[in-house]
Amino acid sequence: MATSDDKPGRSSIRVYDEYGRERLIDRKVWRDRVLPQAIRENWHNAEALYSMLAEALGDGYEADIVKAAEHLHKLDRKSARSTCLYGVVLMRVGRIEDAARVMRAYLATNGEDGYVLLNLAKVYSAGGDKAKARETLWRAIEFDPNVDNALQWYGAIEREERGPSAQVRAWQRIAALPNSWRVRLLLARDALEGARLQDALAFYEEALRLAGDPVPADVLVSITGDLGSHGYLQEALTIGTAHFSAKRHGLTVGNNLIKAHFDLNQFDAAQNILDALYAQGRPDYKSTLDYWAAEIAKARVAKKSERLTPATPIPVSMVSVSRPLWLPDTLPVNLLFPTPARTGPVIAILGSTASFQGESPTIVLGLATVPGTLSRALPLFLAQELFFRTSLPVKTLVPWVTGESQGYVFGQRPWTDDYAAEVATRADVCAEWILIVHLNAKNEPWSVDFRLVRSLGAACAYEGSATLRRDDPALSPQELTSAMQSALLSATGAKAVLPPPLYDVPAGKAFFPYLMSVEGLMSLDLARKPGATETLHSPRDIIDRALALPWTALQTSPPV
Amino acid sequence: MILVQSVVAMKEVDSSIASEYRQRLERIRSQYPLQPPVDRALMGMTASLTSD
Repeated sequence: MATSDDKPGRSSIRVYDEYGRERLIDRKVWRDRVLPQAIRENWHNAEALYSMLAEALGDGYEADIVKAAEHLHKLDRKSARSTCLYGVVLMRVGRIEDAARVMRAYLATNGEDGYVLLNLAKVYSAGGDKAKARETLWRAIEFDPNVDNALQWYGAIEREERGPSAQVRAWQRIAALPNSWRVRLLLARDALEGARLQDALAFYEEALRLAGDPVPADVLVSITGDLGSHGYLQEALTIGTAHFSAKRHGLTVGNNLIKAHFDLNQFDAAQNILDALYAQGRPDYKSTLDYWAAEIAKARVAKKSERLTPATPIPVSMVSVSRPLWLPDTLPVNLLFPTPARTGPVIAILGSTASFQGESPTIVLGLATVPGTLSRALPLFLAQELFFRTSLPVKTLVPWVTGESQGYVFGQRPWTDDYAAEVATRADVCAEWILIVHLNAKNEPWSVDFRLVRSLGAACAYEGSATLRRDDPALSPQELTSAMQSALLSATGAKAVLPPPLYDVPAGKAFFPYLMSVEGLMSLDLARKPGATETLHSPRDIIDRALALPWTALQTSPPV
Repeated sequence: MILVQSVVAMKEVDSSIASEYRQRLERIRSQYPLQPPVDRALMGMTASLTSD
């Protein structure tokens, strides 16, 4: 599927593969290879061919589709839209007389049609015959008063020739035609601009009654968009939600409703519409929906943070993770990754802190930022490395705000040795050693600081740092941790073991998406706690990232 | 493994999203067959997705 918003001038065309992943195709490749092949494949399928040619016409490829449009017209001779498409293609390539002949022939054979008449008027206009264009345009409106382009064009002519009031009078004349509902949307917009809300609502009521069910998507877009942009959010929602169907009306209407709910701080209602739109499985909706998912999440976090006043003590617990979250302790999957029995002193790993540009001096409950995500992912990765490369029992400790406003704790200063040692000696942790991990993300390249602290006496036995270049194609995950691992083995007297053959961590540029996915899995896991569902922001992003991981790791693109 | 376990975890958070991605997993599985032991193990992980 290609989107139709890729206009000439842009260097690429956006397409979606069967898994919904977005890909950009060079325009030249699209024009020279993809489009001709798609036309050949759909040569005998009028429906598919029409969609493809309409898209190509929208992209400005009229010169490439003349023959195909002619073929479609022959294939589907009784179709007004195929006639219009062929006529417009001919008009755009300068064959004005041919375009007019095709459309007149259709009208002579099949009778009047609003769209064909409108396009014939455009052809006359392109040929310089303004009087005939206008007369044909009015014929189009009389035959079908609900073709938006015709109304807009007619209104624009009146406005240009006689001023704004003439435009409104023209619309009023059109409103008097039988079954004329669309022009009422334009009259309502005029009423809104004149601050006459009740008049606008009356026009909308009439338009909806005349248009009947199901209400066309563009009608709801117009109503909700115009009311919303004039500040009448509740009115937009009242009309919009009464008629909205995610399947029928899609993103264009849904977007207006989400925005109205969002602006009214009705986050649950906004989320419900968001979920209904996600459920349509439309890849072309994804970037907009992801945007709203993030905005809603941010707004919710801001609301939660209001409740966490400095006077309120924040209840924090330590979530303990004792094996890779992606490797359940169940048969047969754990047989894929055989590991030795755990033996030796317990090692705790405590991260969730990062210093970065724009930090504030407090512990915050926040959205997933890259430093925040990595501050949790790095300890999980280190624990996983120790799990597979040693026999030591390892626990990653994740500070978690409990109570009404749950979420990750994200500190912006490293934990002190004393605090870490105190945590390590807690009854539910019972670790002899604790490794403090802190991310320095203030300046490039980022780095990770390690401090290995013995819980008894809070004595630091090792202090080290590793550089973290996120865009380094040669980044080796093992090198990142090797010095720290050696120090740990030396301090504890443990021996290194060979990791299971299947254990492999993506290196280079794929390492960061991998870390993000590991952390994403933990976020999903924690969201299963009672009352913690709200902590999950953009859950689809988490899975989509994991879905893209194999191709990122292979440094290739998924098949389009 | 991360992908499969993420979808499994999603089931308790939002079953409709989990169901959507389970179908994607099945499509990927049919297009990129895995070695039988790995396939069996992953199918074992996803067993909970198809039971209610």
